[in-house]
Order: sequence, then C-alpha cells, then structure tokens
Amino acid sequence: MHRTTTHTTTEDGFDYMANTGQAEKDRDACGMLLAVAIIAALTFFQYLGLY
Amino acid sequence: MTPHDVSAYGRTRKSILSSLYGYGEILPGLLAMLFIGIFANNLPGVPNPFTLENLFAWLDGVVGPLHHTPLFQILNSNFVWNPLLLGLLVGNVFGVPDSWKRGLSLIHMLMPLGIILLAPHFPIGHAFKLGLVPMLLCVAALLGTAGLTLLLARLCKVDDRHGAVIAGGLCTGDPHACAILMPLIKAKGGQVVNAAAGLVVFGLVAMAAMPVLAGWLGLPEQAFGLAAVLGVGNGAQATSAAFAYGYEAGRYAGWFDVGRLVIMPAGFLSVFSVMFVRKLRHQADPDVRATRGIDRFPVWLGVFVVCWLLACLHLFHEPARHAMFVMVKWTFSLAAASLGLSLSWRDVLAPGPRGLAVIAMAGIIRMAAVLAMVAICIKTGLLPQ
Repeated sequence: MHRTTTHTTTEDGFDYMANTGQAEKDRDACGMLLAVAIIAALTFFQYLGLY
Repeated sequence: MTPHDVSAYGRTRKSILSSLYGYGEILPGLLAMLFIGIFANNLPGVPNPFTLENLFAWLDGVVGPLHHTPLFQILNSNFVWNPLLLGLLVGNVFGVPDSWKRGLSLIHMLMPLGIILLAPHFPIGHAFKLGLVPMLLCVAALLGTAGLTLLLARLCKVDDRHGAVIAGGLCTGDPHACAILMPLIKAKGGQVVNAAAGLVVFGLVAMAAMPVLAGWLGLPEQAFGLAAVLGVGNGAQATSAAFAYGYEAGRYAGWFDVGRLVIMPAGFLSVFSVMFVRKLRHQADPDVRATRGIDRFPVWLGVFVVCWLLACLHLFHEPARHAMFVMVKWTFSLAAASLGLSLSWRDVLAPGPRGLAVIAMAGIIRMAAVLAMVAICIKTGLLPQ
C-alpha cells in the first residue's frame, strides 16, 4: 500500500485525489453530460420563453 | 474493491455511472464541501450572512479601498480562493476523516462540469468594441506571456506541471486559470496553490511598479488603462494600479479588462496544447510530467471549446448566461473546498521558491514589453495620444 498524504489517502490506501484510467474518463463524461444538460436546458427554456 | 482500483474498476464497470460512489458513501464528504462552500462564499440560494466573503467585505469597509479597489479583491478574494483557504484551514487544523474521502472525490466530476459551464462567460464579440489594436495587443500579451513563462520555467528546471499552471495563471491574468489547468496538466494541488499564491504576490509588486514606470514614459491615462490590464495581474490589481496612475486610467482599465477576460480560454487552451504536444513528442522522457496520463485530446475540453464558440456567436443571452455562471460559482466553490482539504501546508510549500522566481522574471519582462508595445503604438498613431 502506498500512502501519499494523510489528507488524501485512507487507511485502506484509497487516494481520492488520484484520478486515472477508465474511471477518470467516466467521471469526465459524467461532468460533461451534466454540464451540457444544464446549458441546454437553461438555453432552451429561455428561447421557449419559459422565463 | 473501489473504482480507484483500475483493474477492479474495469471488471465491475457497467456504464459511466459506475465511476460514481453511492449516496451513503459520498454524503459525509459532500456535506463537508457544502458547509465549507456556504461559509466561504455568498452562494446564490443560501441566505447565510456568516461567510468569509462577508468578513473580507466588512474588513474592506474598515481598511478602506486602495485606489478605488477593495483590498481583499486585490488579494484575490473570490469564489475559488475563499473556499480553498477555508478548506486548507479546516484540513490542517482538524484533519480530514477517512469517511469524507469518497465524497471529496467528486472534485473530479465537478472540475469538467464547472469549466464547461464557464464557457458562455467569454463572448468575444463584446471585446472588439475596444478596437482592433487593443485586442491585438491583448492577444499578443496573452500568447507571448504563455510562451515566455513556459520557456523560463524550462530554463530554471521547474517541474513542467508547475511551470504550466504558472504560465496559465500569468498569461490570463487570473489565478483561477491555475485551478482550471489542474485536471488538464495533471498538476499537483500543492503546485496549483503555490503558483496562484506566487501570482498574487507578484501582482502586488507589479501593481506598485507599473504606474512608476509608465510615469517615466509619460504614457497618457487611456493607454495606461490598457497597459495595466495586460501587465499587472488579476483584474482588481490592474484596476488599483491604473487608479493610482490617474482617475481616467482607472476607468479605462475597467473598459479594457473585457479584452483580457474574453480571450482567457485561449490562454489555458494554448498552454495545455503546448504541453500535450510536448508530452506526445517526449513519451519516454521521465522529466516530461505535464499531461502524463492523458492519451488524447479530452472530449470534455472539446465540448468547452464548442460552447465557447457558441458563446462567441451570441447564442447564450441573459438571464440564462447569468444562471450558468451561478452554477459555476457553486461547482467551483465545492471543488475548491475539496482541493483545500486535500493539501497540507507542506504540500503548498513543497514546490519551493523557483516558481516565484519564474513568475518574477516573466512578469518583469512582460511589464517592460507591454509598456514598450503601448508606447510604440502611441508613437505610430495606432493608439490615441
């Protein structure tokens, strides 16, 4: 088990600041889809005159 | 078995949602970020008056403005810096319980989310009202500073990740850009905070030096408004330096600051592109660490660029654009709280003073170049006397 810093690493070696591989791509995709959904919703609602 | 474990993740992955932890696992960390966020900033929708932002505003009232600019804005108090400071304080005084860490890992989703939502904030068309010559000077200052800083960082043998975040922050004139570059460059949190702090410190020096140098050159106030925006530091530092030169200069700094703001994405995109291509060319070199682990141009960054282009085509109008910026404040506040909690004071100091030396060298050369460019433009009639 590699402990980098007590601020980021748990007793089990889980480092929450580590972000690599397929898991990183999936997290990026989650953030990206959420952002696109928010931007699209806010823009369309305005164009449809809902606010 | 956790999503952090790549091989195990590959075996258990069903969809992109597999990268997210369960609600029960993230709740403690999410609450920690939330409470740090709402006690750091006046976040829209939260009527909490006991915030660090309000404390700084109250202290600004006590101290009074410095050349028409609040002192704590000069010291970079904003919706990223405040939760970062509070997170650093909480993490270093009380520690970070293990139960928070799954929730704090949401930073990795919040960063692309916040950066994409930031794109509609940069409609470039607004800036061309400033005129072609001032805009060309803005672009030249941005790209020139980025290239110069990367070169100096390399000559001074600064870790390339640290050098890249410094270049991003210095060329855009906004220490936020250091945080935006963090997931792109794969910089360490300590390098980001160290770079941002160095930029704020150098900005204070530039803020004092620029009006004196411009006085020797006898620059007109309008031209100094532009020079301050391009050569000092963050927006508040530039405004304060310009007001120190003269009232008209201060008013013009506010006018020209739009030029710096709308091309900001070009700053961090150019730094990322340079470092990414460099990494592709030097795959085997262990000293090339920036963007290591990023195999191809990130899709989410492409989405950011598309949204920026749509913003330039004026697709996004008020109040939708304002609503998106409110979401940026929320996401960056939570992410900055998580980043602050992840760092010890030692991590922040670990990159050492070389970064500050690079900032000082690049900043001094930039000040001289900006003043020279503006003076030449006035002599040749490209800028008004």
